[in-house]
Amino acid sequence: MKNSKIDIKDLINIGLFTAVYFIFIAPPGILGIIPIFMLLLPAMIGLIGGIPIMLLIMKTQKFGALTICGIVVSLILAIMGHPWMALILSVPVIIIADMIMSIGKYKSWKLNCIGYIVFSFWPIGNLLPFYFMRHSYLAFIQEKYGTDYEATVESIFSLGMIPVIIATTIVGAWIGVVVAKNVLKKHFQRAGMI
Amino acid sequence: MRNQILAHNHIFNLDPRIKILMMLIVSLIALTGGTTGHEIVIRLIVMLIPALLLILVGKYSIGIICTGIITLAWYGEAFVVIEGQQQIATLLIFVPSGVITRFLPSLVMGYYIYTTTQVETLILGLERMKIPRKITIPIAVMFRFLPTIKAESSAIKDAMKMRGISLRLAFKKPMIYIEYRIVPLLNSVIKIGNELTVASVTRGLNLTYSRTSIIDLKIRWFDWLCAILIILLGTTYYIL
Repeated sequence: MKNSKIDIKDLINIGLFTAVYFIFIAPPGILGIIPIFMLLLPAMIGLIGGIPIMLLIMKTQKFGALTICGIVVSLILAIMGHPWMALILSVPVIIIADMIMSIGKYKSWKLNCIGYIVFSFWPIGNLLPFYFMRHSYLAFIQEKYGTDYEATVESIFSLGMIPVIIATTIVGAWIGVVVAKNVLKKHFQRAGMI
Repeated sequence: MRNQILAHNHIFNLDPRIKILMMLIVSLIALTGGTTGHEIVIRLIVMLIPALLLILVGKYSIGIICTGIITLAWYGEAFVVIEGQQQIATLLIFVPSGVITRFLPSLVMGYYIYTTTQVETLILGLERMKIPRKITIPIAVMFRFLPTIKAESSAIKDAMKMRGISLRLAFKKPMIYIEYRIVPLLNSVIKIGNELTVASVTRGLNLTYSRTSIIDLKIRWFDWLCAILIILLGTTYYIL
């Protein structure tokens, strides 16, 4: 475990790949304003973000790189107006993902894969307010806009949707990580970039 | 890119710390927005602040358009009451205005911060807030690189057009399209990263002393005014 501290080179790499990750997740994030897409948001982010995140891990191979990347992304999103409640879920999830990967010292493909799937759960934190403030929100809608609309909203954000969100996220992240593995193997490991 | 950003000592350009504070309060109030009693008026004022700031720094057209849209959406959300059970009417009025009042103010604030803050100023502000360097350096690199990555990406797009890899291919073979667009981008990002590391190490970025800055960052009267205004509005919104 020598040279396991994050140094300036790693910090710069983290910044670069966080920027790439941020650009990749921006289009689904904008789509996510529409309520139906909001449910698929974690899955889409998991699908798209695989390549930069796996590349970052391959490049640094140190504990803390993924943590800093995830915390920077969620901090910027929180400052940009996403609910603060999201940080309660996303920060522990990111740290757990980093720990899972560090067990295999970032070289074991299986552990990296599991770690990435855990990491992809962080956008779910943004959906939390819909569940915590549910009753007051639904009551407010019903009083003002009638029962029809309230029923629509309730069916979209019902508790039964949570397993669906988790399942789609796992599938999305799985596909993303497999694609990332193939691309990395084909283009970066052979070319000696990592 | 650098020339378009407003100088940090412009009279209406806020201190980065104040900007972050305002961003927090604006986004909180816009998102959790209540539409009853006195809250309506305070919420409108808070939501209009980012657009007014844009007008103050000289972005008249965007500022005025945003003011108009936010006011309209706010009116639609707060005062339009729909009779009976008309699903279509609710969908057409309530959903768009709800989305706009919740998200547009923080987007406008983000745009304001992005166009008026130099990276150096932002980093100095974050360092004054005692945020550790492990967070500030990635943020600095990130903001420095967003324009660069955009430029690289469009250059790759042009180069790939010569090989017949355009949007039409993206619909036929999305995987190949993604591969051809993303792999070169990541390659160049890795190369730029290596160069930047060497350059920054020679400039002493890996020293741990507290650094000096060429920028003289002070909280001035306009900053105080904005901070006091936004804190007053926020407290009255939540306490009263």
